[in-house]
Amino acid sequence: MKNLKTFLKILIPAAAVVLLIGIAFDILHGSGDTADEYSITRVSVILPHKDDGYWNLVAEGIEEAEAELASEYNIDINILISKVNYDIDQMTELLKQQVAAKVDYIVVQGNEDEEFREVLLQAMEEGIQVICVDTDISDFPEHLYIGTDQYEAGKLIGEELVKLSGGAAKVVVMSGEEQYQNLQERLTGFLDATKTSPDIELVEVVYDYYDGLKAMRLYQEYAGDADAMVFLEGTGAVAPIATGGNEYEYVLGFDANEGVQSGALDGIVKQDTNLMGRLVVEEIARRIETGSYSSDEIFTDIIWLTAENYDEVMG
Amino acid sequence: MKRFRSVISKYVLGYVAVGVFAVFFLITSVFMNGYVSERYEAEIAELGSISELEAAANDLYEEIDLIYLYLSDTEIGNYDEKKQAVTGLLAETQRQVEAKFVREMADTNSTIETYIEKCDELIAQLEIYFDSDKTSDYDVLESMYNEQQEVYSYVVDGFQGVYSVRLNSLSEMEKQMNRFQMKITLLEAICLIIAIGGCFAYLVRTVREIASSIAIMMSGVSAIKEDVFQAEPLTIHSNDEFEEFANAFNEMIRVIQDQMKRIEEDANVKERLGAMEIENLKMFSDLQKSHLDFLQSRINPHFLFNTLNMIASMARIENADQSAEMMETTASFLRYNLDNISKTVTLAQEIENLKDYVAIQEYRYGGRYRYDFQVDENCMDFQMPCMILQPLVENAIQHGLAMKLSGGYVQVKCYLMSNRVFLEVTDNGVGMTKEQIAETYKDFYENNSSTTHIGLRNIYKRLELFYKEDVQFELNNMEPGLEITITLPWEGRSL
Repeated sequence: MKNLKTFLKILIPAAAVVLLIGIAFDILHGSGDTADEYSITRVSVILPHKDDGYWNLVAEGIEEAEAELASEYNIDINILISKVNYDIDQMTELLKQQVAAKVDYIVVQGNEDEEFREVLLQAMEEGIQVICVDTDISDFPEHLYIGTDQYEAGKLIGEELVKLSGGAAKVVVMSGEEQYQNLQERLTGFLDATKTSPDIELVEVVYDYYDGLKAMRLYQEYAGDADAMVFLEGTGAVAPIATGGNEYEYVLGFDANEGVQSGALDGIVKQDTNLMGRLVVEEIARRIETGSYSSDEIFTDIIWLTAENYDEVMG
Repeated sequence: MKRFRSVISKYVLGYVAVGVFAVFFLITSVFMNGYVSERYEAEIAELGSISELEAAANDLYEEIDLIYLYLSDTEIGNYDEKKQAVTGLLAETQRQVEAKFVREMADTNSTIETYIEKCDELIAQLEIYFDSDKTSDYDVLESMYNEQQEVYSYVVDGFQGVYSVRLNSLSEMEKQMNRFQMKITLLEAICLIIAIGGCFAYLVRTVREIASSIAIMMSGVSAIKEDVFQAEPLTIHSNDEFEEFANAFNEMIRVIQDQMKRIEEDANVKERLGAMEIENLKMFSDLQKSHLDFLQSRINPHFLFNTLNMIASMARIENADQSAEMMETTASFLRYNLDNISKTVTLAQEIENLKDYVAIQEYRYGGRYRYDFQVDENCMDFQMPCMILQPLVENAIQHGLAMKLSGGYVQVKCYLMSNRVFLEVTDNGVGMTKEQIAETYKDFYENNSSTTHIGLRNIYKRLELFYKEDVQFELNNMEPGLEITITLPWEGRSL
């Protein structure tokens, strides 16, 4: 008892002093701490879209990895999103701002717009590292690509259509925008996969320009002319999700999980978007530490998601 | 040696602790308020620098416009000045970023650098334009101007972002400061309560210790007053003067108890010694009595008396009256001795017996000595132990007058004076030297087993047994002769 009293006599004032010092220290040094080993690395991520199912998952992956690695590698990441979805002009403008701000890394979804490419080339001349996520830029000089192997993804959706239709279907392919290399690669893959089935007839390739209303109009417009609709990007899937997908015998797409869950789509190619975001930060950290990326082209996994394996895949 | 802390130092310690805590909290409060003010001032100063940079960048932008739009080559001279102003302020904001990284500020600073580069390129091109009589490629100039304009728009956007962040930061800082101040206030309040509580508890404990020490000391004093042997040692562990006092007090009690115990033990020893002495005397008396009884048992007194009386009667029949008288006197003397050895007798009986003894001695020594009896009639019924005077007279004859063939003299005087009975036996014999007298006294009081003066010593001891210490026994050398004076209390006559 006497020992306990003596212990408390010492402990209570000591704890109070330590707490006081701790609080003062926390206030004085709690914010603005940076890792001393590496100088600050400014990263600007320019995303084309703020949606609930794709780019926000990429952003989440970036933010998760940032929380884990930013402090250690002294990385500061600024995520910028164009005010209008997939507006290349706005994204180019944001890109120019980042080049003028002389940031260290620029992360973009690649596209084939000439001005966009020129600004990126200028950035590279300024010593800024360019990373393309989700979509690459064709014939662009030394840079890092992180995302799906688009050709393989297109090939997968083509093969699944052949399986579903038994090799006989009139198909309309709806893509986003012609200037995106990823969509072109998917289309190529799709066509290569279906060309071995002569009864698969490609009615037309149409573009919704990432506009839901336009996608709905095109979806309904071709309902009488085809019995299969293949969406090469996620936006178009809003149409079958809204209508129930009964307009076509086969409806396939990309990244529209809820469409599979509701039965509006027969299957989708699910990309690992979170991993794309994570890898962006991990590769930057790797380059800070080692001076190079693990590779100049990093493909993330794809899964064919249907109602049958939905619970298994989505957990 | 144990070091004690004084009561005053304990009090002082308590008050000093309160003072230290008070000063500590005062300093903490001042420091925290100073810190908060400093943070606000630094933030405002940084905002001021940013605002100045924005104004300087705007000046530069206007200067470029002036030069380009109005083809005013005279303004080119002002360009460097404006650029220096921007560069100087930019360095300041760069220092801010290095001190505390803010992404928006870092981006804006870099954008301003890009803007200055674009401006430099434009001005260089304009200088070429002015130097070449305004004949250089206008498209190049226009492109450069547009680029400069574009970058400036990024600068403006950047400042908007910076202000937005700064305002958010200020707002966040205000909240943070409020939270911090609340935490500090709460912590200070808790610490203050603990500190005051601790100090108060300390002082209360000190006062209680003092009160307890005083109470213990008072109970100790009361215990001593009641019974010093029952007083328990004071138990005080206050580590101050009281504990020191208690230790000294306990030592004092121990010393007193030890001394009193020693005195008591001495008294007990004396009492035991007295009792043993009385026991010894009783034993001695019993021994004498048993010795006498032994003698009596060996000589049948009645047979002896009857025989002596029969011889006396035959002596009278044969007309030997002197022998008959001697026989009768001897028988009377022996009867007195045997009948009264353990009884008290009157002085008259004692004198009568003494006269028998003297008569026998006169028959024996045939008038060599003269005897004189001067006995006060008032003393005749004085009660006293028997066989006191006879041994004194016998002592005078055997030791004092033995060598005197004629002219020997023994006087026996008994008288009452000052309520005391004086028994004096005086002879004119050889007497005793001073050393012999001293030796005799020594035998009386030290109770040793000296073989000389046994008769006198026995008389003294028997009288002491009867009269306690109220007996005076004096030996006086009369040159010639010896005077023995025994003084006994008259009140003791009825013993």
